Amino acid sequence: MIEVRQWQKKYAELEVLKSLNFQMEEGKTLAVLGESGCGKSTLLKTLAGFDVPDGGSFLFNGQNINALPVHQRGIVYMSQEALLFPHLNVFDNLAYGLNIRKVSKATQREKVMVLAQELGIEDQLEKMPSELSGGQKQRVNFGRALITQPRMLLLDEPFASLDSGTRMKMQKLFIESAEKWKLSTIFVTHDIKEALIVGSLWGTMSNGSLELFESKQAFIAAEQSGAKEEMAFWQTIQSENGRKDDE
Amino acid sequence: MILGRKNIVLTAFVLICLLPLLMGFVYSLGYSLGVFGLMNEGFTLDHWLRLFASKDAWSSLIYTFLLTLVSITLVIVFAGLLSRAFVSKPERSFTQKLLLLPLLFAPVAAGFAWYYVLSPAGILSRISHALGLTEDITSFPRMVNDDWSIGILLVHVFLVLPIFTFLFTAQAKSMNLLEMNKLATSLGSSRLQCFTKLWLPALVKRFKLLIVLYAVFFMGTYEVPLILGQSSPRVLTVFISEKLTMFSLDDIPLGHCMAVFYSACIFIVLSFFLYRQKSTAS
Amino acid sequence: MMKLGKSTLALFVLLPLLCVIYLSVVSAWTYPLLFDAEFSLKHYLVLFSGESELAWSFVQSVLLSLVMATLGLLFGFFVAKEIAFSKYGSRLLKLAFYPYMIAPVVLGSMLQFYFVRWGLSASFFGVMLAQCLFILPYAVLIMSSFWSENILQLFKLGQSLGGDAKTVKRTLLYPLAKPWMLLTFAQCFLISWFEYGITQVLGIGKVKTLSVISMQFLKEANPHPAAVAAVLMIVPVLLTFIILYRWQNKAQGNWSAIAPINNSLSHHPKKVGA
Repeated sequence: MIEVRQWQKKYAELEVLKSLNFQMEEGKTLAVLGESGCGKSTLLKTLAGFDVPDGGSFLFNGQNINALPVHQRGIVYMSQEALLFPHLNVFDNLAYGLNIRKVSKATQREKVMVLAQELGIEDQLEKMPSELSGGQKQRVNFGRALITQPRMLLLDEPFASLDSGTRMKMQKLFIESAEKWKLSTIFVTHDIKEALIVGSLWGTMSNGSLELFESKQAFIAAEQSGAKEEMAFWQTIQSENGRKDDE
Repeated sequence: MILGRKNIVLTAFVLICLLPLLMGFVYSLGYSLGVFGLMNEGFTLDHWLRLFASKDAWSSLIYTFLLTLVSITLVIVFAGLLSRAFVSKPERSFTQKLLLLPLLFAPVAAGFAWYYVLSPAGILSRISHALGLTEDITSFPRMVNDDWSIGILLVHVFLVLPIFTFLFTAQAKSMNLLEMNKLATSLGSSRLQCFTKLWLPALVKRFKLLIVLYAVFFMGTYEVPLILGQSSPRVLTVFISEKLTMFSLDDIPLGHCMAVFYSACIFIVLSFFLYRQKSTAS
Repeated sequence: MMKLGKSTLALFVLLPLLCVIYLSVVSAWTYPLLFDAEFSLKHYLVLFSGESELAWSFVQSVLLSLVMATLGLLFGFFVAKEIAFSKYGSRLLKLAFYPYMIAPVVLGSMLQFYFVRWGLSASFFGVMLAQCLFILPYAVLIMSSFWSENILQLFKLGQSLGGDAKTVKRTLLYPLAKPWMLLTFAQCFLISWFEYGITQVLGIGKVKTLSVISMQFLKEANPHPAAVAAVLMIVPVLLTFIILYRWQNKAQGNWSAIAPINNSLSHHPKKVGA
């Protein structure tokens, strides 16, 4: 069980995170929907250890993660921008986590090849990051995180900068990977559709507060998710189209 | 209070940047006001009054200013023209590679080389003599230690042109100036108008601060006018240096006055452009 | 018209170099001799004879420039990092322009009193200290473009992938910083290498770097050893450029290699005869 209790963060006088409380089972994906400036990124960065919270505890099966330095947490943070190491080729980027753990070269090669095939980038291994497309970069970004077998992934709108086609592929890849690797993930997005696709738990965030929902239906029904408005919009479009066809 | 490592580092940085300048400025100011110095007689404004009344000082100031203006203008215009020629060429054409050569030269070496190229007994003069264009040393036009500072201007352009050419060319490519040029032509602009109203102004605006920085460098020019300049008027740095190192003790306060004046001008100009950039951006 | 322009430009950039090489291999150079002057390598052979000041000047210049480049690199690397992530970062960085913009000869003249007082004038150490005054701030200016938010993100990412600070520095930070460090080293080397004004004023002609001795030969109307000095000044610079550009070509795919090298020209230490 992953538990976050009374999680707080202030910048100067501005309370960005207001005593957040939530818990989730391991192996689940918590999709968090929220607008810009609601504190989503701050939540993820403080959980990753990039920023120090002003209060609260973060427990993984009873272990206090907050007490650990960043490199010992086993939590990987991925932002919108696929920050690949520019001086390393794709292979070395993927193998980075294994390299620093002094895994043997043979094992590194084996794991990277398997992972690259799963991600569909086995023919890109010699390329430098500057030679990759946005989607390819995010695949490498993913792979680099997965190969370290993290206990948790924190995804901060990871597909926001991709075109819709690539985005769909990446969502599918994420779902498959999350299932296969039993990943615990907090997936932050401002896209309701994406939240519904990738999540197995749902929450909305606004003004530094997080509200979790018991079920998908409860999430859809909630006013703040915007799902009803979205569905109403598509229904309107559909009925307009239907009228035009009749005419 | 125990200073953290960060504070120590930042303090050291600020001290290195400002302390020597302040120390030098204070000493020169004190000397110019008669407070310090071998022949000091207490606070006086006499040296400053002498400076402002000195024809030599004024001509040095005006000369330096004009030299700076003409040098930077020539660099900008030629760099603009070259960038126009290079923008459609591959990145490292032979001509562009050649343009890297002046970057190898120290100002002393460049001054020396051009002196022996342009002087009446120099290489061009000898070529001219061999071709029958001139008869002797005196019939070759004077281009060093001359009234028009031709030698100094040539060396200034020689040293700085490559830098501005490469920057202008890269910027012209990223701004897609060539396409804009075509558009301007289709709107009725002549080639000269395209160059003077579009190409050059766009590039000058982008590199405003750098141009100011290099203008300040030209104002502080020393070795080149020392080698190629005339005996009067001299540029500010030579004026200051001569006043402070020649044997007349009377001239030393004048040198310090000019040093203070020069530093204050640089400080004001720099502050204006550095801090103006910030407020423009915000 | 283009051909004429190209030829003029070629002549303009090649003439001084050819002049310097020519003067270094010619002797008995009376007017109007040009190609019929006496050619020999005797001005270079004097270098190795032990009688020439030039050889020692060369060594002094190399030593001084290497020391300045190393100091500049170390200072620039660590100070720029603290400035980049400081609340007053951009204000602090602007301070670095001030010592760099004052003509060294004027700065040296204003500080001469203190250098004489403290026994630093006419000494190698004194000249080194004097050059630090504008080289160190300049090094900070160059390295400051490395320490961006992006680098910090990469550093944190490296940590979140399991690397401790030391490992992340070794595997990420220093490799990424290499182009900037190389550039800073090269630029600081070149500033010191080219420097004349403050070296002359505070060295009082006793610290004879190549630029000082070139000027001395010029004043003595002795163009041939001055030409040899000029050639000796050009060679290390040529080597520096070749190394920088070869290195850039090798690291073509690396964004961090391209950016500082291409931007290096806007940081070129060509203080024009200052």
